[in-house]
Amino acid sequence: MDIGEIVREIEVLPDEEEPIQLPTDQPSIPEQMEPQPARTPVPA
Amino acid sequence: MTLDELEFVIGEIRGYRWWQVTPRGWLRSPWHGRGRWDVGDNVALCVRADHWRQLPFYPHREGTPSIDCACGFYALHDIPMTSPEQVRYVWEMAATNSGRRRGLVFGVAGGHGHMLIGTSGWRAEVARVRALYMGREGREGKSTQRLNVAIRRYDVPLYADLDALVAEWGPERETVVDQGPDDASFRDRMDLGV
Repeated sequence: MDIGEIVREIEVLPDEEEPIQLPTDQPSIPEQMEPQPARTPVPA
Repeated sequence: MTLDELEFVIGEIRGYRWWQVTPRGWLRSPWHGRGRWDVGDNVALCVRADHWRQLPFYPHREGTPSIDCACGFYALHDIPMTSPEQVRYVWEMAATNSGRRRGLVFGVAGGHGHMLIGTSGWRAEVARVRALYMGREGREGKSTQRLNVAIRRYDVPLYADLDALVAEWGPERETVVDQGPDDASFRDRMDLGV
């Protein structure tokens, strides 16, 4: 195949897109757990 | 050549070319080598023999494709329009003949990596099949069944409208014609045989 006179020499870097990370159900910042008051068993 | 002299482009350069569909639905080059194109990226390896050192092939110092060689994957900037009766070479044949002669099918290739851009087309280190074209008339030929296998294998679209192929997959003109022969630094390097 004849591509004519060569006029440029280039390096083409493929545009490979990073897969987008979809948010999950997990919160990104761990929620601070409030300390629960200790419960004494209630007699039935 | 130093890295400072290399021009970097992000993405890919597209171009038009012919393939031949094999009976098993593979695409291969219809001229030298008749190399089969794989699905996804194809990486060129120059197999020019070094007769002096009796080596079957050797890599070019500057990589593939080399200015001093004919290696690499080829494609054209423009759609060929020559009638079959007047063509000297396969690649000149009008795209409207896709599917009508000897299993030849027309389409678009995308190239990246090291590339040489010419006034009529390009040579690339890495290339892949991007899209194929076959007009309504071509679909009456034997190539249709083979081509259906090929488009599934390569996972590429098949266009029946040439204008649609150009609109969706045609090369970006500004990328391939920018900085032509007036680029003095490139001419200097060519003159030095670098």
